[in-house]
Formats: sequence, structure tokens, C-alpha cells
Amino acid sequence: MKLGSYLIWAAVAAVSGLFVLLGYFIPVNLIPVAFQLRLLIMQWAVLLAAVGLFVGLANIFLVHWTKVGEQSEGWPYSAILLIFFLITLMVGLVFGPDSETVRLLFNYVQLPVEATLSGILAISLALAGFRILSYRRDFISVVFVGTAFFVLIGSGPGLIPNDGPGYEFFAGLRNWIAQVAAAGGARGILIGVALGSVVTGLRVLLAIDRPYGDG
Amino acid sequence: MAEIRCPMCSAVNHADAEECVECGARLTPLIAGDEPTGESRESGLAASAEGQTAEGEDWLARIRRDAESPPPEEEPEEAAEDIEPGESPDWLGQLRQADQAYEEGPPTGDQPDWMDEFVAAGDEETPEADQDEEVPEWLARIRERTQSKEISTEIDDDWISSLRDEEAQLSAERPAGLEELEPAPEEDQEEEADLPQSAPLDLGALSSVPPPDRPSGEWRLTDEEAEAGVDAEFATGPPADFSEEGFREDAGEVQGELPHVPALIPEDTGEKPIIEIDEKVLDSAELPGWLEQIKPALAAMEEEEAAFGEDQEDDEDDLAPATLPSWLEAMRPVDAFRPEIDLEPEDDQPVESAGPLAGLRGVLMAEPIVAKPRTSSVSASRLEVTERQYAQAELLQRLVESESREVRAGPEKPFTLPITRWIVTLVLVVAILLPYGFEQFGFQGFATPNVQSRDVAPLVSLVNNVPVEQPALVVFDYTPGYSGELDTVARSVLVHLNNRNIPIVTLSTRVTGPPLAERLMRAISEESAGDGIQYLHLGFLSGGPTAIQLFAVSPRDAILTGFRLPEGLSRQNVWASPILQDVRRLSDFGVVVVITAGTETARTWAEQTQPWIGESPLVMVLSAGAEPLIRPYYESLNQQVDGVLTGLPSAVAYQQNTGQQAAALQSWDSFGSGLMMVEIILLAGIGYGVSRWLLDRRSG
Amino acid sequence: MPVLSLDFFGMIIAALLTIMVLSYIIADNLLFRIAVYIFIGVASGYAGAIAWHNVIRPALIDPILQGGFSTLFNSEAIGTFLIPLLLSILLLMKLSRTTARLGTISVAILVGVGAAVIVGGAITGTLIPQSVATTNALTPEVAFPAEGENVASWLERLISAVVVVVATITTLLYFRFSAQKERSGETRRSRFNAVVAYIGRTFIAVTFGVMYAGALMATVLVLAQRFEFLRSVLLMLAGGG
Repeated sequence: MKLGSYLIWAAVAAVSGLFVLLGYFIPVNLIPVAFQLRLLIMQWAVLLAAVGLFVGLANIFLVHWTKVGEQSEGWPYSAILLIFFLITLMVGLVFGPDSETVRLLFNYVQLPVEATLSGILAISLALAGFRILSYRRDFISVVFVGTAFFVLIGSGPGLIPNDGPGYEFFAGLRNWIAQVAAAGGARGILIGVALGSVVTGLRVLLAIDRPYGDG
Repeated sequence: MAEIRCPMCSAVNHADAEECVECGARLTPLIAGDEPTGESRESGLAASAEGQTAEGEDWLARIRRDAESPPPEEEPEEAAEDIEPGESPDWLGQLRQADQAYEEGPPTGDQPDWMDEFVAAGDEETPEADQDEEVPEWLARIRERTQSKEISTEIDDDWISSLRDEEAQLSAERPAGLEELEPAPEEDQEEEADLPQSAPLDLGALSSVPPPDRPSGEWRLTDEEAEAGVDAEFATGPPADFSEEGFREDAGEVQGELPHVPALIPEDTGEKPIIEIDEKVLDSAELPGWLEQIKPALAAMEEEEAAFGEDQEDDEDDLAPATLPSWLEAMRPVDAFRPEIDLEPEDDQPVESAGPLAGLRGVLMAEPIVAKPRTSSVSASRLEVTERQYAQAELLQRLVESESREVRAGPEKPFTLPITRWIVTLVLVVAILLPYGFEQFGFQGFATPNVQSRDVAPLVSLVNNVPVEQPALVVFDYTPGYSGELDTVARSVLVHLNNRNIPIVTLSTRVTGPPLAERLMRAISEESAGDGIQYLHLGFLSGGPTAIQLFAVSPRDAILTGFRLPEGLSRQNVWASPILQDVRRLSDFGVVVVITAGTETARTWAEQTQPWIGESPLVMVLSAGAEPLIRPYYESLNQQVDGVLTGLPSAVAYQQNTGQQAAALQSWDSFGSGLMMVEIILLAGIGYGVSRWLLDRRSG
Repeated sequence: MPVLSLDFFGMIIAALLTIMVLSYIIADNLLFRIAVYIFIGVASGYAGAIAWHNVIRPALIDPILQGGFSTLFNSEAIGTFLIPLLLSILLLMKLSRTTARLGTISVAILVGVGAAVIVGGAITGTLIPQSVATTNALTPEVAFPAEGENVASWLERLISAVVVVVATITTLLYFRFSAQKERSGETRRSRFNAVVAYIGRTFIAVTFGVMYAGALMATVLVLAQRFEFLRSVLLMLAGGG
């Protein structure tokens, strides 16, 4: 690690970050030059994020290309991935992502597979709810499962008919649980998450953490 | 004739030759009494050689001769006169040349007066008075001082006898540096005849010297010292036996050999050096110069002896093995360096082949000694390890060992059928498919909820109050996996907006957002009557929170093109669309609707759009699982989220409130049936857990 | 007879892929893996295409196509074109180990700006507003009944406000893991902290229970719609249209 290059990267990250951060507390829009400069830096970041996406895709390509080339374990799957990757990318680059061909690929390949994967999640979640009290029999687990049950009961159609006499009670109970008890806990979680985000972000801005590397 | 090979150049020389004819290196080691012939290389040797050459014979050789014949009386005086301050007798000078780095040494030259006097006194049994006449003044003064003080001593001050004893001990171990003082070893015996025999040291004259009141080796203190009460006990060695008998007997034992002079670098005998020189004695102006040069050493020696005190009296004979005498130690420039030198027998010692000491035996080898690892003068303190440190060290060792240890593959888990998962799946799938047969069984399906969420009515009111002339920004930030739920829920809001003829502008920070937006908007447009829905896609905006902040600050600088733009609108000029003609800031949108299944995305939009959103309301259309973490933004007095719509039940209620065709009810029965089965599964799980707990409790 | 259109074949392909993915319920198998790898390939390709068309081309290619190569030497375009172009090229160097070091400056800008946005949003968007909301939860308007309000309604409102405040504070205190070392060597919280943390943990369990129930509802609906799709395809194949 060269001491000089490390300082340069840290300085670049800190200066660009602090300039953007100041815009949250100081009305930079009143200073046209500062406003434009802040805007420019954010535009660079947005563009670099898209280029970074390309770098990630190129990395995926290289990894699976190597797998196919070396014929390591699972290489046929990698070959399938590469074929569909290249087809979709080429068609998308040539005809555009809003073209009809790409729309077909999205609607009849990507969407159904991803939706079905989410559907399978329902089975996994139901199974987990069934087993939770078998694995952990403590007060917290009882509270967790009990809350989920009463919210489900009071949310929609189910064991308790929506037009039944008891539904109003469970619906009110569900509303109180979700909008009072859970909201209070969620607020505490949000404040804690925000504190953690601030600490982590400041560590990056102050170059204490350097995820961009020292090289 | 025998030949000798030069150790330097391997040239063959005559056996009798002292120097190599080729390179001039000495072929025979220099010993006491040798008269170097030929050229001398180094100045030290040259000086000694010159001295020897000038004097013709060293003092030991002289002594040896004197022992056989009475030495001339003038000679000591001449020697005494000839000796100049700074000069030392040859033997001492040659000794010092063995380690030139340390000492300047007494100057080479004739023996000092005191040695001559000793020689003279040894042959004469003269009364004390006569001897006093011949003894130098400074020595006489010392004698007087010692006689004036009564110093009890139980030490045998017969240093001559001790010298004899030591000679017996050292006969087998000659110090390397003193090789030159003695006849050559056995291989050089044939050369002895050529070497002038040194007269044995006749110290018999010293026997008439009155025994000092203090242990031998101590010179008499000066008057000043006596007044100062200087501790006189600094003897570190056995007294020398200067008696003639003792010495001659000793000399007889080593007939033909020079009397042994204790090494300045003593051997590992544990004995202390015999010769002790009191620095204070050397204050006399009559003292030779070379003695004056070692005054500092004497001071150090005095201090050391004073510290040892009585121990030295008891252990007088014990010299620390392999240690230098204190007075020599004090002369050492480097502190805490105690080279341990094992002096080999003379015969085994190598001949130096290079440098100014070439041809000499027993010369200190520079490299092995200097580079010898030295022992620490201070013993290392014992490492103290606390229990905690020991435990941590042990843990670290175990971690390191475990890294190198091979992890054995555990036994393969036997394949078990996921029966529970199959049962749950079967039950759930049957429940979902069951409503499709409801009609056949006369079942009318699940009723719509009669209790609505308290969030629905405010949202309906909010959307009803959105200005018609301002477009609505709808953000499609969800994955295709949640399109089944969110398309259904968001449709109710979008249809409501469309029914109010509010143009819709779509945007997404996910790559799958634009096609999802196009898919839903197209479906709504196809279902709507009339001209369809007015909408425009701004496309994909990369960068996550940074993109949201950029769009909130300046939408026109964030979006450079669109997605699936209508005809007549070029992709480079999406902002030229009539829908966006009055939009410069985020607050120019009538309402911002964020459709997302992730709490992170919803939270980011709530954080980053303030304060740029102005008075425009922010509405969240969320998946049912994301509601709790967004509700705090909605439930606060200063709302950051102005409306929330979550889950299919709320969407059904919304559609009912806005008079829409209840498209959400299309999946209502399947949803209800599946939800009911999930509730049953949870109940079964609670019952199973409780029963197992009871069973475990009963079994203990 | 269904119309043999692209949509028809697309729906059949979608149905097949749906069944291949659903086969994972039985066990992990070849069909499931093929379907997933196809999905990853298509999704990756589509992501690259839309990133290029929506972000990269308008920013880096269109200016040259519109203004010509003189744009490269236009001083006004230094900030809007030249520097972003250079940074983008440097970021692409990250693909190679030998040149990866050159792309560090681009990554540094990305990371710095991203961190700043997160910090600014967290402070101004969550920390301050939510803290103010917590302190404002028990205002006099809440603490005292409104005019004409019945007691039950007021009590419900008051209790709800108290519960929200208690839940917020105890949840925050749960994440405070400061403890003291006792004489026995064991490190544990003080009794008061332990009780407060346990209450907070209970409210966290309630929150997660609500989220779990919502996730169940969402995924059950998605699964129901998947089966509904399969049913529609079957009906279509059967000629039901």
C-alpha cells in the first residue's frame, strides 16, 4: 500500500461525500454554484452506478465462462445461463429493452420464474410457523406466533368469516396490534437502524472505513 | 634438512628460518627471549623487536642467566636509567601486543628498576638495610606504610609460594598471550637451542622484603591514604612467594622454562591475579610511566575489592571462572561484554597466518570471539503469565492447530423424505384450488370484510384531492416476484387516478420496474373505457438512494430518457412530453405514489423526498409484510407518509369505496382459502408445540 | 382453438417454467436448476440492456452522436461529459486485476456519495422526525380528552400513545448491550436494564410477528395467482380461451 494513493482515495470519497451531505443541512439551492456542483457529483454517482452494474454483469459472464471453459462441476448450467444472457443482452442492446421481443422474454420467462419462487416462499413460511414452537418454547416465540395468528385472523378472509360477529373484535385487535404495538416497536427499530446508518456512513466519510480499498 | 612451510604463502623454507623468504611472514612464533631477526611487519612487533634488538635480550632471559650467574649490579641501574617513562619491559610489552585493541601497555624496553632490584635482591642475602639502599624509593615508601599499620591478615602472603602453586597449575595451560614468554612447545624444541635462554626470574631478593602487614599484592598506602582511612583490604589473590627458595624450587621444576607469569587474561582457574597494583601507589613521581597509565584501572579494582571485602578474604583463591580481573575489566571500553575464552593448550592453539600477528600461536581469533554470542549480564526476569493470558494463549494455540487440522467430513445425513413439507404443500395447494370448485358445490366464496382499515378512507380522500392538472408520479419499485400482490393492490389506486383523469408518470429505481409499469399500465388501459389511460414512462434510474435524492432535487437532471415512449416523442427529449411540460421539481407532481414490497425502499423514499416534495402528498402502496416499518412515518404528527395501502383486504376495501369494479376479488376466494389453511397450520403448530412441551415435562 | 401467437407460446413456456420451479417442493432437481439458470441469464441480460439504454447511452454516447467529436474538446462539457466518461472508463478497469487500481477513484466517489446520502437521509428523514414524533406522542391533546369525547375513546387513545412510547423506548434500550462484570466473573446487565430489555424484546417480537403475518398473506396471494395462471393456461390449451 502506498501512503500517497491511499490518501488520494480517502480525500476523494470524503470531499465528494461531505459536499453532498452539506446539502441536507444547508440550503445550497440558494447558492447556484454549490447547488450545481452538488448536482454534478450526484449525477456522476448515478452514472457510475449504472457502469458498476455493467461491471457486475461482466463479472458474472467471466465466472460462468470460465466454468464452461474448464468444464468444472455444473458447467452445463453455466452454459445455459450464458446462452440466455447473451441472447437477452444482444436483443436488448440492438432492439432496446422496450422492444416486443424483450417484453416477451420478460413476461414469459423472468416474471413467471420469479413469481413462482416467491410463491414457494409461502410454503416455507407456513412450515416455519408450524415448527417454531417445536424448536423454541419460550415466551418470545409464543408472542411471535400468537401475534401472527391474530393478525391473520383479523386481516382478511379465513377461519373467522368477515361478516361474522367475532370478526369485528379480531379486526380491531389486529388494527391495534399492527398500528400501536408493532408501530412502537418499529419506531424503535427505525431509530436504531438510522443511528447505525449514521455511524457507518460517517466512518466511510471520515475514511475510517475504506471499502473502496487502499490500492 | 628439515623444511618448514610458510603458513601464509605455503612457500618452502629452511627449518631454521624465522621468516619466510617469499612473503616475510614469521615461521616461528615469537616467544619471550627471542631476538627477532630479519624484518618485522607491524610497528608493535617492530618496537618490541627493536627494543629487544636494542637490549639484546629480554628480562626473563636475563633473569634466567642471572639465576645461573650473578647478574651485574649496574645492569638494573642502567636498565632503570635506560627505562624511560612510558616504556615497559619486553615481556609486558609483548603481552600487551597480544591485545593491542585494549591497551597501550607498558612501553617496551628494559625491565623496570623494580624488577632489576628483585633480580639483584634474589642473589644477595643482604640485610634489610642493604636492600633498602637498592630498593627504589617508591617501593621503600610502600614498605614503610605497610609496616606502620597493623593489618591483621590470616592470609598467607607468601606470594612466591602461591606463584609456585599457580605455576604448577598453569604448567599444563599456558595462556596464549604468554606463549612468547616461554620456550617453544615441543615441536619447536629444536629451536630452543637457538633462542637465548632467559635467566629465570630471581626474586630471591624479595624474600628479604619484610612481609607486608597487609595481604600481599597490596602496595603500601601513601600517608594520605592512611589518613583517609582507605580500606587496605583489596587483595584478591594469594600472596606471591618471593622467597628465593620457593622461586628457585619452582624454577627448578620447570628447568629450562621461563617462570610462569600469571596471565593478564586469566585462565579458568578461579584464582585471582597475583599481581595487584594499587593506583595510589602510582601517585609517586618515580613510578614508571606505564604504571601511571593504569591508574584508572586500579581505581576500579579498588572499588571492586572494597565491595567484596571479607568474601574475598575467604575466597581469595577463587577467581570467577572465565572472568577477567576487575582492574582489567575496568579498562574494557565495552560494558557488559564478558567474552568467555577457553584457552586451549599451547600445542593445540592454531598459528595465526595473517595480519601483524602472523606466526604467533595463541593469538586471539577475531571473528570467533568477537562474533561469539554473549551472555547477558543481567539475567532475564522470569516471564509472568496471568491466568487470563495463559487461557488466551491456549485458545490461540487451539485455533491455530484447528486450522491445520483436517476437518473430517461428517457422516452423510441419511436421506429423509420431507414428509412435513409435502403435507403442508398439499394442504395449501388444495386449499388454494378448492375455491375453483366452490361454484359446483354451491359455495359462494368468502365475504368481503365489513370492517375496513382506518387507512383506506383517508387515502381515498387524499387521492380525491389531487389536482387534476398535475401529473401523478408512480414509482414501481418492486420485483416481479411480488407482482401478483402489488399489481392487484396498486391497480385500485391507479384506476382511481385514471378515473379522475390524472396523468400518470412512472419511474423506477429497479431494472425490472419499467416493464412491470408498462405491463400494469397497459392492462389498466385496456380495461378502462374511453381513450385509455394517460401515462408516460421515465424509465430506470440507477443509484438507489443517490438516484432518489437526485430526482427529488432536480428531476430533469436525473432523467435523460424514457421507456417505451409514445410516438412523436424522441428518447432524448422525454421532458418535452405534454404531461411533463410544467414539471420542474418533485413538488410539481400532484401526488407521489410509491409501490414497493421492501421496507428499505419505502423508507428511502420517505427520507430522501423531504423537503423537496413540498406540499405534494406521498402515498405508500405496500406489501402486507412491509406495513409495520412504514407505519411510524404515517402515524406521526408531522407525517412524512400521507397515505398507506397494504394488502389485498385494503385494496378490496379501497375499490369498494371508490366504486371500482372489484378486480381484486378475482383472487379473493383463493386468497381466503389459502389464508384459512395457513391459520389452521399455525394452530396445529401451536398445538403440536404445547403437546410436546407437556410430554417433555411429564417425562422429566 | 387458441390463436397461435407469440403470447400463446409464451404462456406455454411460462407455464412450463412455473411447473419446473414448483417441482422444487418435491426436491431439488434438474428441472428446477435449469429453470433458475435460465431466469438468471435472462434477468442479467435484461438488466444490462436497460442500464445501457436508460443511463449510459444518454449520458456518454448521445452527446457525441448529437454534437459530434467536438464535444470531447468542449470546455463546457468537462463536468457533464468528459469527467464522467473518464470515470466510467476507469471503473471498467476494475474488471482486470492489473488495472483494478485505476478504478479506485470511481469507486471512492460512489462510496462517498452513497454514504453521504444515507447519512443525510437518516438524520433528516428518520432520526429527527421519529424522535420528535416520540416526544410529541403524549401531547396534552392526547393526554386529555377532547371536548365531547367519551372516556372509552380517550382511554384507548391515551393507552395507545403510552404503549407506543414505551414500545419505542424499550425497543431502543434492548439494543443497548452495556453490562457490568460481577464478582462471579459473569457479565450481565443490571436488573432494571434486563427487565426493560425484555419488554423491548417482546415488542420486537410483536413487530416481527406482524411482518411475518404480512409476508404470509403476500406470498399466499402470489402462490394463488400462480395456480390461477396455470389454470388459465390449462383452460386455454383445452380450448376454453
